[in-house]
Amino acid sequence: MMLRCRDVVDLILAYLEGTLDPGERQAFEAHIADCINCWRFLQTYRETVVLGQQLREAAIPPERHERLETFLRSRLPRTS
Amino acid sequence: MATELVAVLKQKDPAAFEQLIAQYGTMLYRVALRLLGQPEEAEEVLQETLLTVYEKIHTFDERSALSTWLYRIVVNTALMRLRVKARIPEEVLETAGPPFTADGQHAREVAAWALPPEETLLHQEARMILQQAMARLPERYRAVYVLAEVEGLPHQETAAVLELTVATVKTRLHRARLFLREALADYFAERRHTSA
Repeated sequence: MMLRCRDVVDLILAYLEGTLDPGERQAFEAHIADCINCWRFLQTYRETVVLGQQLREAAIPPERHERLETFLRSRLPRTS
Repeated sequence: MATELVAVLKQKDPAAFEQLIAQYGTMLYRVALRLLGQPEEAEEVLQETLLTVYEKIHTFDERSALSTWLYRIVVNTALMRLRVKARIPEEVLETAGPPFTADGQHAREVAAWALPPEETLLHQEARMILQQAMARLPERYRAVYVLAEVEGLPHQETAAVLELTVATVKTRLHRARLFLREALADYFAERRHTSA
C-alpha cells in the first residue's frame, strides 16, 4: 500500500491514537520516513495537540470561587 | 461518590450545591472559559449552569455519568451565548489543512517549528495564538475541540455530551486541529521572517 501526502494527513489522528490497522500503519511510517514534509507535518500536528492540552490548566481564580458560593447562597432557597 | 451527591442534590440541599462547585466547578469553569474566551462571561455561564442544575436535577435519570450531564449543560449554555463575531464559516473547516497537488503530494514545503520550552515567553505567545485561533472556530467545532482536546474526554463521552457519533467527533477534532496548526504555522513563519 503506497500512501500519498494527502492520505497521510487524513490518517494522522488515527495514527496518533493507535487505531490504524497494521498494514496502514506500516505504509504510514514508510511514507513518513521518506517524506520530509509529512514528517514535519506530523511533528507540528503533535505540537498543536500538546498546546491544546495545556489549556486544561485553567482553574477558577479564588475570588470567582467565592463569588460563586455567594451567588449560590443568595439564589438557592435554604431549608429551615 | 457521584451517586450520593446526586441524591443530595435532588433534595435541593444547598450544601450539596457547594459540594458540586468544589467537585466540578473547575471543570465547568474551564469549559466555559475555553468556549467563550472571556473570564467574566465564563463566570456568568457557570452561574447559569448551576441554576439549571438546581432546576433540572430531578430530570437527571443517572443513565449517563453526572459529569457527562454537567458538561452538556455548560456547553449548551455557553454556545447559546456565543455571539456571531469574527467566526469563520464552517465551509472553511471542511477544507482545512495544507494544499496538495493534483496527485496528492504537498503543494508547498512544510516548515518545521519546535515548541520552545514551556516556561519561555515564546511558548506562552504560541499558546495565546492558539487561543485566538480557537475563538475563530465555528461553535460546533469549538465544542468538540474543548471537550476532546482541552478536557481530554474520551471520544465516546464527547459524542454523548454533544449527541454526535464518534466518527463526527473525530472528524471535527481533526479539522479543528488542522485549522489551529495552520494558525500556529503562520505565527512561527512570521517569527522566522522577522528574526532573519
